[in-house]
Amino acid sequence: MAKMIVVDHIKCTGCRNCELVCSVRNTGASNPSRARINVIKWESEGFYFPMLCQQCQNPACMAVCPKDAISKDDNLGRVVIDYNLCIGCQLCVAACPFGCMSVDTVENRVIKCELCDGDPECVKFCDSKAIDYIEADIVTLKKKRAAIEKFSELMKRLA
Amino acid sequence: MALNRKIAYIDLTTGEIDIKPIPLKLRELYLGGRGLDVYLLYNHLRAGVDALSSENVLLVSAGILVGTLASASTRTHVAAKSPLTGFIGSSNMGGFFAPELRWAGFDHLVIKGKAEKPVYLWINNGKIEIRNAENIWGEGTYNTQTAIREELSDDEVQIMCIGPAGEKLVRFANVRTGYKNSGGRTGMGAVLGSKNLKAIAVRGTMDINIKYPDKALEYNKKIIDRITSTKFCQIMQKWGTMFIYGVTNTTGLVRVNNFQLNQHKFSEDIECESIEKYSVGTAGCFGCQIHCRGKYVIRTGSYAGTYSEGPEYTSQGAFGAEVGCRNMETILIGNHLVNDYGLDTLETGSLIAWAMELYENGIITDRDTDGIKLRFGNDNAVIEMIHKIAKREGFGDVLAEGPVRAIGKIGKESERYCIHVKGMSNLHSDERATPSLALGIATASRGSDHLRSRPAIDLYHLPLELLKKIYCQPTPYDGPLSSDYRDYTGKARMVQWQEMCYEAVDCLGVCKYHTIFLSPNLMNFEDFSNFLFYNTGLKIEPEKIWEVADRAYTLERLFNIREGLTRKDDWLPDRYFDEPTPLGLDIVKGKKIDRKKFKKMLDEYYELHGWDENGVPTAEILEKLSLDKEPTHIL
Amino acid sequence: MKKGKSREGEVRCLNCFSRFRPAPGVERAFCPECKMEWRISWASKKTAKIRGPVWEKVSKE
Repeated sequence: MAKMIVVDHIKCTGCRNCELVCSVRNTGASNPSRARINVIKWESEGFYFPMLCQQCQNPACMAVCPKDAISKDDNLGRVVIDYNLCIGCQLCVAACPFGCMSVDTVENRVIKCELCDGDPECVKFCDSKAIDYIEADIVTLKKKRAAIEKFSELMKRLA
Repeated sequence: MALNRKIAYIDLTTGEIDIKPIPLKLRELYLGGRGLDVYLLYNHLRAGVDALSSENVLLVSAGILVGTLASASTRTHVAAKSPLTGFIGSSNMGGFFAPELRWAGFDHLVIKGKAEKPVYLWINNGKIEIRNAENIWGEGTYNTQTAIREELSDDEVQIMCIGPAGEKLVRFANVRTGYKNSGGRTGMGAVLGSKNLKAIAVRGTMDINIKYPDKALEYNKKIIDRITSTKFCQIMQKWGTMFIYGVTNTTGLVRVNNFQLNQHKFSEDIECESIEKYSVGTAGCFGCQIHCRGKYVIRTGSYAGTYSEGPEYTSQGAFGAEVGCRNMETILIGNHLVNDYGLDTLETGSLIAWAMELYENGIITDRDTDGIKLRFGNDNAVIEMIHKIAKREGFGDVLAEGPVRAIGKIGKESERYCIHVKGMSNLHSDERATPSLALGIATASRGSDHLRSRPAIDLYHLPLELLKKIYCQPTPYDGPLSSDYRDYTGKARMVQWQEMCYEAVDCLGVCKYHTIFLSPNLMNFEDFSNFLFYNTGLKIEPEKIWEVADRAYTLERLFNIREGLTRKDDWLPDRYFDEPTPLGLDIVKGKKIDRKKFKKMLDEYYELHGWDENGVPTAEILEKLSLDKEPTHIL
Repeated sequence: MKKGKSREGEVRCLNCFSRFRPAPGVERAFCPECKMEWRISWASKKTAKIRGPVWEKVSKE
């Protein structure tokens, strides 16, 4: 079963290491504007959310592409760009509701998270596991367990 | 290349901006950050200026590894002549300002003159603009950053700014970025204020090229894993620096009621575990997996619902132990206020504690304090004084001048009670039982300071083999060492080693907590060398990195001497020698610093540095470190 | 130098510097060497630290 990147924003510390390692892995340079993941912050509330491509089942970017350059790779559970077909019209950038199709202004092409071909760099460097790479069929059970663990101590005392 | 960042000279009087490359030669000599800042300061500032005049020179920089793969590669350095001490002003902060400065194309800013009206600098992808800041002059540091982001229509802009305290030239005003990160010590905020410089805003999308990306990623992972696997990291991740209080207060190494006691009994409410009912998580600086910054919400009282970040170990002292208070809420409120006002937490707390001891001894009265009952344990008085100091109101105006000038205003009899070195107050640590820590605060280049050279691992009673492994490289040392923190033996070397380690890491722009500071298992000179090579291609061996640090630290010494420093400034307040510790574990009770042994340790310290018996660098060491021809005006 | 499994749950007595392992999750523990009583806190199930002394006992001195 393909793995997916799971975001638990409560654990995010806002360190932006994911942006750094993503941009270096993909471009050889440190440059968050060329990262495929960005941490969005509401600083005065301490709210941080790592935003990256949701690898949609029914991708809006794929639907609007005039050259069919975007397709789904079910093996890795991701949406990929074929740069041989892409003409850089950036309709996909307009279509993505999450802002996760972006433009690399150095290489002059659209970019999105493609899970580092199954070995995501960002996940390796996130110690707090705000982003994790988990099999899609077991991910929600893990989340249920983590959620109820917060209450489990209380429940044990009530028993 | 990570090495092709620029230096910008900004003259606020004329509005002229000059951008230059940084010669490789200077990189090899000083790397960047704090090291290169002191070189620039020594070369651009003439001796004897008034630190609050337009003649002072302000340096702002990102270390050479900032924004690269080097664990927490995040730190900004700020330097100038200090309005608090008259010696070197040097301050360091985390957050995200320095990485953004580098993505905007700059490593160093040299700011001269004074703007006619309040301004802020806007630095964006290689361009620098001076913009009007009149509508944000007077704002606290939180609102200032929000307002600038709104004006520039970009929430990702990173800002370094001052608050009202810096505008009012409080001599220990700080510079701030984000919700909490502060360049706290030596009054750099007042220097910005004296130049009518409200803030520096940066935004950048330029590449910092990594020389060997795969190797850098691999090495970064290795070091980060090493750090996160330590017990120290588990504890820091949960409680931040506040965990230190558990060690020091338990032992009897904490200043309480200014200097009257060395242990704060029944202070459970200010132990780090008490933060849990206020905590809403933790945050980290750029790249950092230790994420030691607490996030909290004040639950009750007039500040109920206020979100803020911190507090640090310093605040447990400043608004807790030193002032005889035992309420976490006072610390949370105090921390929030000083961050908004842009005041150095440490100096603020220490001076209030000093004033309380004066009040309790009748040296100052209600008439002096505008009716405020400055008694130990009076939480309300602490909060009131924070407001007064920040606004320079009433008695706050006296304390806002810092230790030396406040002593001058209050009178000679107040001097004995003031715990400061070179005009800067000490942390709430009580070093009477720990000679190595005492030597550190007496000799630190920027005044009494626990971050220039503290050999904190001395408290861990580590075995000699481990101490040798750490302290006998990368340059040789064959003198004695001791596992006992009450000893004087070998402590001069420990202090020197830590000076070099922290100087090196300040040149790199990496956070000290990732080095051998609070844990013996963290980054060392060899790691600095590897990070430097993989990220920038600069090959500098560990012992040469030590040499860079030695050069920069010795130049700080030369700067201070040029401003009038002598051996007598490398000393401790009398109380360290005269008053034995009344409390604590048996091993630290009844301790004071021995004058003769301290003098001998200081002599040893000078000798290790290659300085003469007056603490002046010899011609020999200056030549060895290529400092004999300074100022050389290469940049 | 990784923290080995053998070090998990250990604390070092601040009085005599010997290491001991409090029972998991306890809030108080005695140092087996010097018999000093400590308040204990836990950063995680496996990471313990000394929170502070038992003040009532300290005050007697």
